Amino acid sequence: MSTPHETRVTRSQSLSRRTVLRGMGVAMALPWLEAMAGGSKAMAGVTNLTQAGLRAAPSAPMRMAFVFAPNGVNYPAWAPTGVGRAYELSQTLEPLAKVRQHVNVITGLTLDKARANGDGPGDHARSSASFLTGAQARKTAGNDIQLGMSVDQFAARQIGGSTRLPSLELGCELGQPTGNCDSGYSCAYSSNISWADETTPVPKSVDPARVFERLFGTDADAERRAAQLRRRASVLDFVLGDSKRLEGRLGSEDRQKLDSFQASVREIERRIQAARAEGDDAPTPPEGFTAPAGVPRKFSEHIDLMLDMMLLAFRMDLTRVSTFAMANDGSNRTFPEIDIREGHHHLSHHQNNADMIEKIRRIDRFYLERYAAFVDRLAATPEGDGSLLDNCMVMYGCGISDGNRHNHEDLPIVLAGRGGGAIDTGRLVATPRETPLCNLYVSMLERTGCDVASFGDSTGSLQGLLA
Amino acid sequence: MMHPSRGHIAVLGVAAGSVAALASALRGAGQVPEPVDPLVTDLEHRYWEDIEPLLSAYCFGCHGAEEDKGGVRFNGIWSLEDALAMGDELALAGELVRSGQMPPEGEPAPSAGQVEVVSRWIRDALDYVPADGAVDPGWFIIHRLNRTEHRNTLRDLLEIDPREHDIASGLPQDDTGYGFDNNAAVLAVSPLQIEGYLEAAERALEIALGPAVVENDLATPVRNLTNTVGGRALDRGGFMLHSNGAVLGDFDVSAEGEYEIAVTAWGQRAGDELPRLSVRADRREVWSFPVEGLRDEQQTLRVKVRLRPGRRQIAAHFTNDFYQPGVADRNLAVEAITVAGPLPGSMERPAMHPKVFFATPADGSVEAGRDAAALMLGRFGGRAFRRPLETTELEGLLGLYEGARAAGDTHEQGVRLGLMAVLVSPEFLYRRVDNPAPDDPASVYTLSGPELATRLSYFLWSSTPDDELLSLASAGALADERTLRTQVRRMLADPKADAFIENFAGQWLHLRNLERLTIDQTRFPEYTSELRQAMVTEATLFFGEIVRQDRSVMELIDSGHTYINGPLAALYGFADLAGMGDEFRRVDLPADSPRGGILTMGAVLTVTSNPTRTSPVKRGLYVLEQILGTPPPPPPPEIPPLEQAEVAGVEHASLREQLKAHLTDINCAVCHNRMDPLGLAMENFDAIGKWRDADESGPIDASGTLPGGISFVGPAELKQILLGRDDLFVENLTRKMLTYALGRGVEPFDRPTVARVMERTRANGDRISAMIEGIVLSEAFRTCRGLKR
Repeated sequence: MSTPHETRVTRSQSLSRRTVLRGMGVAMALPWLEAMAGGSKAMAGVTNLTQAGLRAAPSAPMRMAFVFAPNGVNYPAWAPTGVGRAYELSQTLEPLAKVRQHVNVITGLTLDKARANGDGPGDHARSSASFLTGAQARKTAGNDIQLGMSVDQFAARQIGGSTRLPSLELGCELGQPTGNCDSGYSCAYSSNISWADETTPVPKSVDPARVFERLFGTDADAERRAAQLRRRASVLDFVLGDSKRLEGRLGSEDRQKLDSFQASVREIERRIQAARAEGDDAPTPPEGFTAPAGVPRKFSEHIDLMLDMMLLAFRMDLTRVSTFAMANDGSNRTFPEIDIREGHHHLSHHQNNADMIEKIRRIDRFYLERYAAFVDRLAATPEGDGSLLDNCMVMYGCGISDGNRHNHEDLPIVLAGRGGGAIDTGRLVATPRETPLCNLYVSMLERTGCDVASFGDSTGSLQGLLA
Repeated sequence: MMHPSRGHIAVLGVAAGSVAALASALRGAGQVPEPVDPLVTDLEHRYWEDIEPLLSAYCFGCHGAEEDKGGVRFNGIWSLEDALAMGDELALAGELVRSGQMPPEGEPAPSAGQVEVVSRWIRDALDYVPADGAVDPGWFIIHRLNRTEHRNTLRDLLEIDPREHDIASGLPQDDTGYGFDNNAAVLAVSPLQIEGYLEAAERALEIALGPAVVENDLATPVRNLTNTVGGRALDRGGFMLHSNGAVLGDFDVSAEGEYEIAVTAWGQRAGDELPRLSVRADRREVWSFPVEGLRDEQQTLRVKVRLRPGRRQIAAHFTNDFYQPGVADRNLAVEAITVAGPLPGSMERPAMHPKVFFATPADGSVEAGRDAAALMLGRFGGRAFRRPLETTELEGLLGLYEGARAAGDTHEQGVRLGLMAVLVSPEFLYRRVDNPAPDDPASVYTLSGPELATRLSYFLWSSTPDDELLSLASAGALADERTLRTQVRRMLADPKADAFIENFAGQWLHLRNLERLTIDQTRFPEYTSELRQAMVTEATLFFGEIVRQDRSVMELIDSGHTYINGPLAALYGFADLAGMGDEFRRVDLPADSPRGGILTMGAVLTVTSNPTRTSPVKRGLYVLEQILGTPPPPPPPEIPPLEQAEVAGVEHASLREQLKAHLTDINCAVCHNRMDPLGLAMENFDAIGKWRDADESGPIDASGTLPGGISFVGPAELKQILLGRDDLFVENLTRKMLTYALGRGVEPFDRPTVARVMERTRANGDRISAMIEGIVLSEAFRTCRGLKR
């Protein structure tokens, strides 16, 4: 062991940092938002909306996010009453009170492709599978999975090219490690809400520390980072050549698999090119920002922290499209935080037991509270003359309406944000029964500037949403 | 409740229907009786029980004896043979019924549940393949390495200990198909994966070979900086320790050498000592400093230490807290911890380095370097691709080398770039076969030696083949059955076969699900993570013994011994063994013990429970699905799971009483009369597998009667019944293992393969080696055909 020595440093040399995201989630989230608004080198790579006092609206990027909650809801406790602006929040919707002026509660939407349509049971798998795709999952345990592209990936293909990540897929639960997920459906359907194409699910990240690394990279040293990017670029170039050689020897089934490999390699190549072009202007976390330490033990903190990552990515314009599955459909998680010891899925089939119905209501509220707090944080984040939320569309919902009945009409759906000012918020938007959920997606895609004629099983855009 | 879909074949306890026998008799008197295929018996039984009455009610009116609208009639089906003769016509009928086009509008229509029953029967009937028919080996589609395989492969290629280094941490979880995470069809690739592979390749090479740049005095902050109890976060970064405790983080050491730890700290003084800071690496003190600096004059304290490769915990401890309320308070603040190294001249190359860098360039020129690189990349690439490199591949890698040198990289860095490219290449990440007619289902391809070696190695080791296997393979020796069998024995005796035990049994028996399952700890305080881990270990050791000692698979159903440690002994009520600690020991079970076999192990009993109580339905389903391979069809649509059936007016209805509701509705009863009694037989085990004589509602009644009138009480008699269905169990295990070995779902056309493997197993006393060998020697494993969807 060698002799220790010491060096005295002055205050100015030391790191002056605000420890913000130490895995704490919501309570710690606000301070750094203010810090970020202060403007610093940290903001260099970002659309400089708040910095120079630029008029924001015309150039502010539009973001869209989809927050998925599992197992449907206790619908009577969810259903709001009244109409339009004068509607009344239900018991479950109460947490939205604080952000009421920023959200629309939408009723009457239907996810027809989550219905059996001849395929028998499996509503939970179908609910997550069709939620963002509007497509009917082929019933298979694996040999030939087939679904469709999800709305976030549809958007990412069109508007994702201008940000570091075309899209960001987040969640809190990994898929079930083994066994049948639901009535003969491959677990791929229940574990993934984002799908790149008919056969390729897009996996989600559940560790906030990993997400943070993906957003900002791990190596702070610019020279090392540049060398790493150069090496990765030449490796991927080689890999692409290798895979092209391979292509000629494969059958059609294999080629389809290799296609998604190549597409993924190209996407990473694009990111590397963009990162190399950024050079010293690469986005770094706002000053004083420390990475999350890992997955918090408390579920609510885990959710908040994942949503903080989404907020950060939106705020710094690292992505404009994101999905977040709070849990997988069919989730049988318990909620010790609110003293619910039975599994969620188990409770959802309450058979009219009052105690179980009440617990479901409390779980629904638990999830919605996290969403409402997120909306509130978006609203409190300045951007241009308004807030970040003004330039967002953040949908919340389930693919099942009543968790006991497994029905897929009258879905519980909330949409937050004004979508750049076009959406008239603060209302109950009652749509005619059996209006496809995908009509909402068409409207959202239109607002983000996507070229969209139809999506999934849409029959048009959603009436009554715009101002 | 999740319901499975595959409702194939035999129905536990249901005897062959007399109507079916009648039908067979009607087929042709005087013929020589053929041995009856049980699958035919079952299909015909189901036809007369379920299908014929529905056809008669909804179809025969237009497509029967009276009329044959569209030239179609169904009243001629007397046997499976007749049904198969209708072929496509029957398939079309199934589709029309399924999609609601038949019966036509205005005619009485069957319920959704009935439609499901009809569609299922038509599908099962059309899928029928005689067990003694010709073997169709099935397809092989390119097979991405899953996380486990990727990790093990890097372990074997580069001697990286996965317990020390979690290389795959950046890779997302793999999806599963047919209950296993090595299903080729669902193993997809996304950008997240590519990022993960790049990172894994970089990390693996750095760990195996040491840093490419030999020295590094750049201070790197430790990862995941946090504090122990007694501290709080500081606004300016770092943590304040108010009582004795520590601020700590992780640092990944890539090469053994000397490192400098630097801690930025300041103190609040009180009493007659300065605050004391102890710097520790992996809990061992490196040096202890008095901290003179105050709030605005932090000190950076530096100390050098030799560190071994791997993830090291670096900590700054506050060791002399002093506190007099309101008077004096000595505290220590730690703002940052960084590590730099290996320091110049101190690094030791890992043992793997000379094995990869075995060729030395003749001189410092790029040309000489290229020649050496060709040798090294050729060898490494050949191991990684599990076959010799092709010329174009090697040239591509050398192109990378030259590009790196041109960009100013050293020889070492240039070679490493080639190594990295190998580890991200699709030829490494995918297993494949060189079938020249991949789209032709009629053309059968025999796997090359290296391809077979690879398939075998990923089956038994979840990893890449070793030198012995590869050299036999390239010499063509694996075509010889005896050599192949010798290799299987050798591989099963190798410690790497733990991968088969853990991955196959862990998924087949759902042991892996235990980790994610929540059990209400207020109700079951003894269910700690140690106990949970012990449960998994018991089942794994038990299955491992069957593999290692080549025992009969029937021991999985019942056995006179098991493996336990202290916590498990306490759970199982073996009072005299409860103090034996965490070590596992093989113990003979007392003659009157209800334990023995996997069904009465803590792991299985817990993984089939709900968070707060047992679930006889899940336990029954587990027996049908995982043990017997006779899952009931999923519940018909619109019928919610009846797990929570309420019994009107009964406050504390026992589960047994609640489950009776299943039997009052014929739609439920048809399956639950099989599931529920099996589960109820195990009601003496609570939700974490502890024995009990009574629950809240009174004494446990563990008796049951299966359809067909077989009555039994409790787990011992249940096991006797299961031992009597050894044919079903062995067939099911064969199917599960085949699914795992082939990396695809077992299809109806695989029936002859299954039958042959089973036959071999049964003829060899149900020893597991016979099953494994049967699979390895099968056409399905050694050959494949094209696939056209």
